[in-house]
Amino acid sequence: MSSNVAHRTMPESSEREIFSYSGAVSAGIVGATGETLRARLASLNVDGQRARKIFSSFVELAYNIIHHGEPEGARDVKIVRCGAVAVWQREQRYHLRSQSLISADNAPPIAQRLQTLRDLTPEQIRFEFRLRLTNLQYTSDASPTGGAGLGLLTIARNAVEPIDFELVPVPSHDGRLQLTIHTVVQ
Amino acid sequence: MERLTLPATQFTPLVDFDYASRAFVLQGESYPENAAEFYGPILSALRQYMNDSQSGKTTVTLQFAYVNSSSTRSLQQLLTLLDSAARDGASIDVRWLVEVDDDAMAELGVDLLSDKGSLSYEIVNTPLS
Repeated sequence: MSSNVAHRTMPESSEREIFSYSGAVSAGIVGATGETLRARLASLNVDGQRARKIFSSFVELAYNIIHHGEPEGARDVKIVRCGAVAVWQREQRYHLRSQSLISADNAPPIAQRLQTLRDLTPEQIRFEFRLRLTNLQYTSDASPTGGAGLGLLTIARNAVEPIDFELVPVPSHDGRLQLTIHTVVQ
Repeated sequence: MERLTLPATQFTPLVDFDYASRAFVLQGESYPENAAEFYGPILSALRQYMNDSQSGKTTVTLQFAYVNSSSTRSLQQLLTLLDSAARDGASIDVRWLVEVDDDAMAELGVDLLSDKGSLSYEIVNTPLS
């Protein structure tokens, strides 16, 4: 991942800031921020197809923070997950970036899945999505709450570029890592 | 069975299972954090209906503005259940309604339905709302 995406804090002159959120992430906040994003896209006259893809990727990134994120603060304090999601436009493309903490145990499997997705062509992503759906008929996934791997595949399907990601150790967070995911919708 | 109706919410679709007329409808948004929790009772009701059902055609209408991945997983379970019932002899029509410009939802309909070999289904374009 290019450092200007992972560490982007201010829009460049060629970019338009559309939406950003940083803080606690719960289902209610996904709903509230999602509706705000929808309203913002409508006010910018973003066409329906694009707006739906942006919203879809936004929701999947945000729920990914809830399902795979680590709480901020002390490990023995049960608080909601925290993270950040930003949406901006550069020329005719819409960039989405999520950032959250994940545990050292969660990092390898997530990195493996993201790396695999990054190397797939759009046709292979579509095939994998269908294969995953078909396999769900015959298997029971260990996680009853998530999308059984369909979430990252959905983000990849919406994207016009391979999903990019970065995992960086956060020394002050007891071995936890910061996961940044960057995807581009057109 | 008593008619099952749930109003649409920000995260979940309207549910109307009218057993008397054999018409089942899910309509709206579907992106709850835990789709299994929302769809679990719906799947149970559907399973019971299929077990108790007499002869006659059942129509299932699905119309979504947005479906997240967790809900996609639950819809796969729902359609697999219907496909299994159809394989056992039930007469079931599934209508997947999509707005004319919503390619993503049309594509999802194809992904969910194209491997359901025993179900009768159609993907229907509807005017923009």
